[in-house]
Amino acid sequence: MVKVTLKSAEGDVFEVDEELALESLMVKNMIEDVGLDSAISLPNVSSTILAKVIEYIKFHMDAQKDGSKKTSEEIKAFDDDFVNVGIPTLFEMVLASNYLNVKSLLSLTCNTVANMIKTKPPAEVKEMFTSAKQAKA
Amino acid sequence: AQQQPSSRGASLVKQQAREQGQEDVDFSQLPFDVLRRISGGFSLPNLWAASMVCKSWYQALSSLREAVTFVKWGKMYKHGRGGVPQDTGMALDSFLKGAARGCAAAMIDAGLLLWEQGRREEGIQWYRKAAELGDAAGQCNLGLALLQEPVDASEAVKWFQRASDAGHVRAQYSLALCLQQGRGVEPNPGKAARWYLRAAEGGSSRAMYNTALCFLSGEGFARNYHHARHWMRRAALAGHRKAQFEHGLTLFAEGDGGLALAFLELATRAGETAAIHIRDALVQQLPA
Repeated sequence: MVKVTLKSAEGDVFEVDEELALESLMVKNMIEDVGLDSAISLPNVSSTILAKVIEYIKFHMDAQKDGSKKTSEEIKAFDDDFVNVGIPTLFEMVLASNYLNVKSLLSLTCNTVANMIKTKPPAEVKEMFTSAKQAKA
Repeated sequence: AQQQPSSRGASLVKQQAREQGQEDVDFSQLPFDVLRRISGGFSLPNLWAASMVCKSWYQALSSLREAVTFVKWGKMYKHGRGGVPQDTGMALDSFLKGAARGCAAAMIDAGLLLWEQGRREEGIQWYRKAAELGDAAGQCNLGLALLQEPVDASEAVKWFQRASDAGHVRAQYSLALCLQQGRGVEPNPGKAARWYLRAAEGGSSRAMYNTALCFLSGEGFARNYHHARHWMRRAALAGHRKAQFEHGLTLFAEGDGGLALAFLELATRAGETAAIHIRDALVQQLPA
């Protein structure tokens, strides 16, 4: 199996199967452009988030393989658990899946954010997304 | 008023946060297309709530707020309400404008009109876009469309599953049907019965009837006449004609002729010809 080397914003190196890396259309294009010889640099994605993205793609690739015993409930449970993180992390995952162009993960994370906004009154929505900025100020 | 920190101070804090591994994200920096992707399925109140978060979000969502207006106009043209003449062409035009701005509701309305006009491929395309935005109604419509020629039942089941998990009643009923008949998925009576029950609890009269049948036959559930009677009665009251007939028969067997007559009359009026005979017999027995 051919390996692809991905390099996160912090410079950490992740070695993954080519099949897995191609799930990111952005990485796929990069490989087509520059080949597999050098590491693929992803300056917009932190190590923590990149590790999570890889975990997500790996789980779903295994689940789709023939002979996988994962039921739709188990897959849903994994997805629910996967996005059960703080809002800052969730947003980084939205940004990363958008940047890396991983369609299924973008869909999952965006829908999660959408549901958070849908179920809350306007004042809380505003507070939820401004509190992080104020903390920084 | 809060004092503006110097940019150096801000970057220091950011650096500290980075070291602690919890860097804050500036939500106003979210790319417009991603924000619209998030908000495509919103109703107007949700849309306003998100628009009020910050200036950048307000700007990003302006096209979606426009889309809501297009949907409103589209519905007025579709039904000839609000002082405009009924005009399907104008309705479709409005819905398509809303859909092009990324609004899931507009996509579903446009898809529905296209589907009704026989432009199925285009209709399915819009359903699919709405479904991918996470809209449960879009997922359900896409699933129903995929069950018709050319059939892709396993893909349909996938979308029913997603809409069902989100609580969409019609999708839950459709998913149960697929599970019962083994369409696009391994037949599983137990799961089918549980989804019928969920949909029945959500108010679907057909699901209530099928739940009652599951309890009656012991298919998927342990046989339970009490539950069967309960759901058959609910389905009858919700207007399901076969359930009205069945429940009428049950009442008749229990000796409650008067109430039985009422349900059998309802069933007859709804077109259940099998009920006519017993109804007439009961009318004969009425005290003069």
